[in-house]
Amino acid sequence: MDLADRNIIVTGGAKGIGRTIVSSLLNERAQVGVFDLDGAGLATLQRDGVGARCILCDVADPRAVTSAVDRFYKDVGEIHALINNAGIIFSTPLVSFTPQGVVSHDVTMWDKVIATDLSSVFYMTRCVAEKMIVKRTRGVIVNVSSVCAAGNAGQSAYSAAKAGVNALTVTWAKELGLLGIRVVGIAPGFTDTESTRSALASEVLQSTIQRVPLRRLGKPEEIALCVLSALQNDFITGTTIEIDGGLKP
Amino acid sequence: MGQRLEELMAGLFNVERSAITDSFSMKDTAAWDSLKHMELILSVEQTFDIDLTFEEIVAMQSVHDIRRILRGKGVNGEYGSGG
Repeated sequence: MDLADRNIIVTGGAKGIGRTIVSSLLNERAQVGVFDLDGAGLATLQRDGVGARCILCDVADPRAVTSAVDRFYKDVGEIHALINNAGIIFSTPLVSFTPQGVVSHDVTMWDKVIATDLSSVFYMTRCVAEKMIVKRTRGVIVNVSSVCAAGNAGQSAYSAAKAGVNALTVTWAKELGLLGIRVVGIAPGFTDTESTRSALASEVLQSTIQRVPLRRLGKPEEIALCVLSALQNDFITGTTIEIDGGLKP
Repeated sequence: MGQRLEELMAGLFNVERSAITDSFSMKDTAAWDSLKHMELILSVEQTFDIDLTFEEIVAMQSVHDIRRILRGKGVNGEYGSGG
């Protein structure tokens, strides 16, 4: 897919990896819609005048997603690609040992992570795929997963959500490929973003880096490059590309 | 004259070619579900080198409908015997 003038939605594009993906797409002259719950981040994007359409949307809310996708579609007329990037990281063991005793994983946080990291991908894609089929658009869905999909100690909800995303990538590639729609996963390893640094204690981050064969965190630009490649290469579908410096959890 | 539509449908639904008549329809064929319909769309597009619109893929409810759509796209004489 040539990205110039293509209408592409990026969820969670107001900051972090998503923000870098937005910049990369704009550099390719794509028309970008940023769906994000972060109103301040969207305001900053608008203020920076990067040229993206900013849409305030909680992608974990199916009704909000339907409304936002309808609005974007009405504005632009066709959706060529969707980057399911929005997500949150929550780290805690299944069972924690505290001075107060044994505490098990919080159910509310489990539900929140599953809603934000997995259900949102389903909500977004069901709406966008429908629009692609109506217009017979040979579009692309890119799901941002994680190396944690293989299972990462201390991240039950996040790992489960990302494993679910990988399964959806394969399932939808099989279904939608018949209509010329590709579905590709990108699984970053530990990447140098604000959310990584806030989710992991400094010593944990340093020990993680020591386990990466390349001995460093990934750069958001490197993840964005992988997303561009997934969009531009018309024979990639149904697979999740690991971009992790060689780290295997 | 080619009978490519009958061949295509018979292969797709794993039935004898004689079963592919105008009345062969989604409504009466359990195997003609949504996923099979997507396979059918791809097969028809590739076999006849055409692009189907959304309206056309929704209207493809029977062999009769498919023949009508193919005729409308100028695929005369190539889509089969007429059932």
